[in-house]
Amino acid sequence: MNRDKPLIAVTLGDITGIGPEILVKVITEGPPENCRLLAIGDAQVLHASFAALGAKFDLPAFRSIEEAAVSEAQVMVLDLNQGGGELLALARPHPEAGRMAAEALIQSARWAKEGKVDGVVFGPLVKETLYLGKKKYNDETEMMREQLEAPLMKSVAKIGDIFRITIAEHVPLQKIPEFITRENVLEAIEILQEALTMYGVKSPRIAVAALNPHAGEGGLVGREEIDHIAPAIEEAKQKGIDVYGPIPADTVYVRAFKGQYDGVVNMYHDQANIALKMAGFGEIVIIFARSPVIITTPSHGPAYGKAGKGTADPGNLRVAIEVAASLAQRKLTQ
Amino acid sequence: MSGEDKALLAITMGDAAGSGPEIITKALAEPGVKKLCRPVVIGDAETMKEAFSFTKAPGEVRAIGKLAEARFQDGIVEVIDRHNIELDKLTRGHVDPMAGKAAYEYIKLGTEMTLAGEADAIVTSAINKEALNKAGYHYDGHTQLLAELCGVADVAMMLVTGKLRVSHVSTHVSLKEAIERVQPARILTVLRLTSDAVKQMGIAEPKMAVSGLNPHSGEGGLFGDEEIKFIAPAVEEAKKQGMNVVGPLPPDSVFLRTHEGQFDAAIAMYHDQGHIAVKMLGITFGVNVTLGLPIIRTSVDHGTNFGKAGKGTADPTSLIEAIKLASAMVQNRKRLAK
Repeated sequence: MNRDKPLIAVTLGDITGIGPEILVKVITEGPPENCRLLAIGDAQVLHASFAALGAKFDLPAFRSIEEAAVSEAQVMVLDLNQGGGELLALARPHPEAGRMAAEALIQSARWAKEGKVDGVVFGPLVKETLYLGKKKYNDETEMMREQLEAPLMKSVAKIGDIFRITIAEHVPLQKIPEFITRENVLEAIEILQEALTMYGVKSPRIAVAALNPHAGEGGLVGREEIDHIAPAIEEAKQKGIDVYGPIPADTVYVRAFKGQYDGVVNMYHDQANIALKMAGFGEIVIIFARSPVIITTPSHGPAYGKAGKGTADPGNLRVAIEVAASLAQRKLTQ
Repeated sequence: MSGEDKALLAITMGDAAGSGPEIITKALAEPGVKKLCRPVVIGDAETMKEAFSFTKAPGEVRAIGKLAEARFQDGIVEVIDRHNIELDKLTRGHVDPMAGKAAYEYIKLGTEMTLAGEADAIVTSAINKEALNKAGYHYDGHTQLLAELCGVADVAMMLVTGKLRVSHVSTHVSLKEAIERVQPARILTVLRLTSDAVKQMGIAEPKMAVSGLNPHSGEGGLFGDEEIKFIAPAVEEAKKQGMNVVGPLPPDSVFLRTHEGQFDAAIAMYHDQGHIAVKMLGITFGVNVTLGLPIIRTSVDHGTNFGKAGKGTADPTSLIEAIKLASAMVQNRKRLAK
């Protein structure tokens, strides 16, 4: 019975990029079996995307969420009738495409909030064209925080079996020490703990990376570990979290990939990203913690350079859908 | 290669309380190692004998007083015996100032022998910084100590793991200080030292890549401007001086690209940037090379491994690679001098 499976809304993302192509590939190559997949976007755009890949479009398309929700189909389309066919695979950001992507995301999240869908996966979009109506947002987290009235929402990455949170992501290295406060470190540990628990990891083991080489070596090469990171770890321990650190940044992923930890708190962007690139990890799923609804997204952008070429890899989107479905299943059975 | 042609390597025993002596017994038992070099250990003969009893490696210790007595016979490990470890007092597996003091003496003698041209290169086994400090020698590690013994200021640490060679603009300083050290003159120095070293490693015209400092290399100033202000000008100057160099490139891909063979070496802006990349490849076979010394020096890329001391199970791969690399650098140096 398909109706027993969670209904996952999947948006096209920015239609000038690879979003529609990778969604069509997920559908035609065999959609994830642990959910019903509801593609959210303009039906004509989806139609054209199927045609561009030489595939036949034969999915049931609905105009209302209520009709879609009671459908037995495993894959179906909710037609937002947005238009935009002329923007498909344009291969650069376009404000209209950005607006459509943002609308589809927020509409889907609202349906999730109303219980009409069980989870949302949004296709890749870009910050520069993130408009909702006339309002421009800096990034999707800011937009969702406001639109879903969830001011504490924060993204966590799932990399294979390891969850990661980064305290100072896109920040000049110079400014990073300002972000390394006891409050921020503790919050990151707690969010990671929540995300892992939400995913069903029992008593997750969380590692906190250090900021300085050799974890500051007892204060010899930096004091942030002593002044901020270690006290946050102590406080988290007192709250019953199984947390370790500060661990030197050059071994924390070596250990995590050996299965020593379930989650890693990173201080900055490259601490995580150098390690992950070296380990050859491509498929990273972003999960939103402290959110009223289940939302995930692939970690890559719209990849304009690949738009319209038919060569985009749908793997990351597929995993994002599977993760959302698995999270929704857990929520439904609890 | 026969006899005199083989590189004469001074191998320091490292911290007697750790697994350094044990990995030497295993490394020198490797047939490939003896074909490449003439090794002599600078250490404590009794400690080395005991290490053999732990590892059961083939070979036996012959204590000698000075290098001239070495005969380099098969199956014999010759130790220039400093006689400075009292085994019954040694706290194996723990920080021991006696072992720290002894380790310092091996390095000092090994460096002097190599500076004098008696040995062709120095290869160092693992030391413990805390033991060194407790013995009264306040250095942040081998690199600083060697720079002082050799009387040079501009040195840099390079890590080598397979095809990935990474030199560091700074190493054991806080992240805040590391950022301040990202200056054109220093980057240029590290590029020059790296170019020289890679040539000694057998690559005639090294291609080098310089990493950025900030995420996405600053993204045109959006996430930091050190790339624009300091790194790009250094790269331009290096090009003017005839070096084959690109950058600044995004830190999260430059090391992977180097590992994949696109560049012969990468320049990291701070300790963890380079070390994260190298250690993800597996720490057992990395080699640490000190650039900028008047002598060739390679080292294991790991610590004293106190947990394995006395058990005979420590992995000698990093030391074997360090010996092979030092031997190759000695041969290339001779060839380049001709």
